[in-house]
Amino acid sequence: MMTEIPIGMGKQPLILKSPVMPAAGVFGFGGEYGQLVAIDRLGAVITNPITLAPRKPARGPHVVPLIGGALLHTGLPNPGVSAVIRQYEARWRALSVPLIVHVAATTPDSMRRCAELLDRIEVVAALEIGVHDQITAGDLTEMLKAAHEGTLKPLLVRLPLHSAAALAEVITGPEPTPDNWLDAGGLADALVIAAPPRGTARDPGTGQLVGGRLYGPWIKPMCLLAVGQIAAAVDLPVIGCGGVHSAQDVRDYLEAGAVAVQVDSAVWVDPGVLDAITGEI
Amino acid sequence: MKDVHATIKRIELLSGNLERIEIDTGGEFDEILPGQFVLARPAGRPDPYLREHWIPVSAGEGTLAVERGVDDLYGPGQRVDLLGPGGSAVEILPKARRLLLLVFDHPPTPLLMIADRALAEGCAVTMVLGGAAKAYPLDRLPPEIEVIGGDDDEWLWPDRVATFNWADQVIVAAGGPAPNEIYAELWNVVRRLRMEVVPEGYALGFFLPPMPCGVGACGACAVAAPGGYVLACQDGPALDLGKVNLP
Repeated sequence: MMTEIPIGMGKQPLILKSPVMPAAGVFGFGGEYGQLVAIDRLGAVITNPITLAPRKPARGPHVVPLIGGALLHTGLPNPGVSAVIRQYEARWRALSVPLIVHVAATTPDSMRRCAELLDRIEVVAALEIGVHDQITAGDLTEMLKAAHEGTLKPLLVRLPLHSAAALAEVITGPEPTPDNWLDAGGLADALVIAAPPRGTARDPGTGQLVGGRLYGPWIKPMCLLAVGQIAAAVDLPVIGCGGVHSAQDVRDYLEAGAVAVQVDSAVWVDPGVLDAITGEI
Repeated sequence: MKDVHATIKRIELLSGNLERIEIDTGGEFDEILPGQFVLARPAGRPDPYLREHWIPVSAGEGTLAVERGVDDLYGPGQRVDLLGPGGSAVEILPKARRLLLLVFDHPPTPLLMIADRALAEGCAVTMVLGGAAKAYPLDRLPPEIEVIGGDDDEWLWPDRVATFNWADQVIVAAGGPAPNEIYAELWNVVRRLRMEVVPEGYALGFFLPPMPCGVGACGACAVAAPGGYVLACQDGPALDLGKVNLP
């Protein structure tokens, strides 16, 4: 029996009763997998990425099948944070586990406004911040400060794989004090390592080269390495993400130092994998 | 929506590159409706990683029949994982008595259960096969369907305007690298012939991109639409061409 996993000490902590949860981008905006997955056995539900303004789907192919995996380039379609709240808040209230909203803001101002809107929604237990792959340490700091200005809810930050270690150092910074809390440490309550890495592949249908995020079990060794390195170097809770397809994969991440694990594309391949994992862990 | 482990009963070669697969589902998908799909993948194998959408050509008495391109992925006795039924059923318009089915560079598979339903409801059905669709074995089609051979390369067939004027409803399945361009051309023709007043549901097109999740969660099958987007796996895969953004 797992003990509770607190994230965000001292504010409104997020309490995970299981270390297993779906990753942002795979599980919808809330409840889409309700007929196929025992949601009450998950640690939390994380929404698809949400932006301040509505976003339409990307042009061109959205999916390129790969050997043992896939490349996805969706453009993060979503109706915008206000519409998502209107459409899904009732469903969120019916969830039996904490809800984490993934915010994919592109500027500090849009991050602040998203955070303000979500701060008013009681059922939102935490925000997970998604950032673009080329973000600098300075821009990330500004983004997280803006999020803190908008909400007191716990903040998880999902970092790009290739720069996760360097950005994690910036986020954690020196030991925080009451005077420098926002400038040194305290920028995030947990790190999610990592966002699916990006790649380019040729779409067999159109013959076009398509850039997007990569999914498959072969992502796991790269993310596991990063989780081990970062968990050993920082004091923040680390949530592992990437290529999890079994309970053993989850155990590997926990052994590497993660406090919890997100499951991504395995849910599409076999929705029953979440029940199988939560049944074993 | 359910995740079912099923067994392939029989595979029949229909033509050089098309096979029919009959699957013992234990009755789990007997109620699947025309236009709906299941997502399938071979059980216990790492590839293909994502599921393939199968739109049945028939369902009932514990058996689901599908048609797909020939490869070595499936064989008799093999276990398959089926997730479904997914998507929205195709509704034949209440007053429709004449249904026009258009197929170009794609097997007519998605339209066959729709044709059966329309014939059962007393509709007259005409099917135009163009491009690679002309290779489809005509003896597999119900004899009540009038079949028109279209052009090999272009979106043309004899008496095109007359067939549009004849039809109460048009449903199209296009393949190839740019099906949306075919849908756009079709939509423009329909609008001109209908003097810009096209009834809701009059012209439907099948949007069949890869669907990683099939339950509306991943957003990968999103189709841009006025005011936002629709999801092929939820709102489709047959979508009203008047309600999506076409090139």
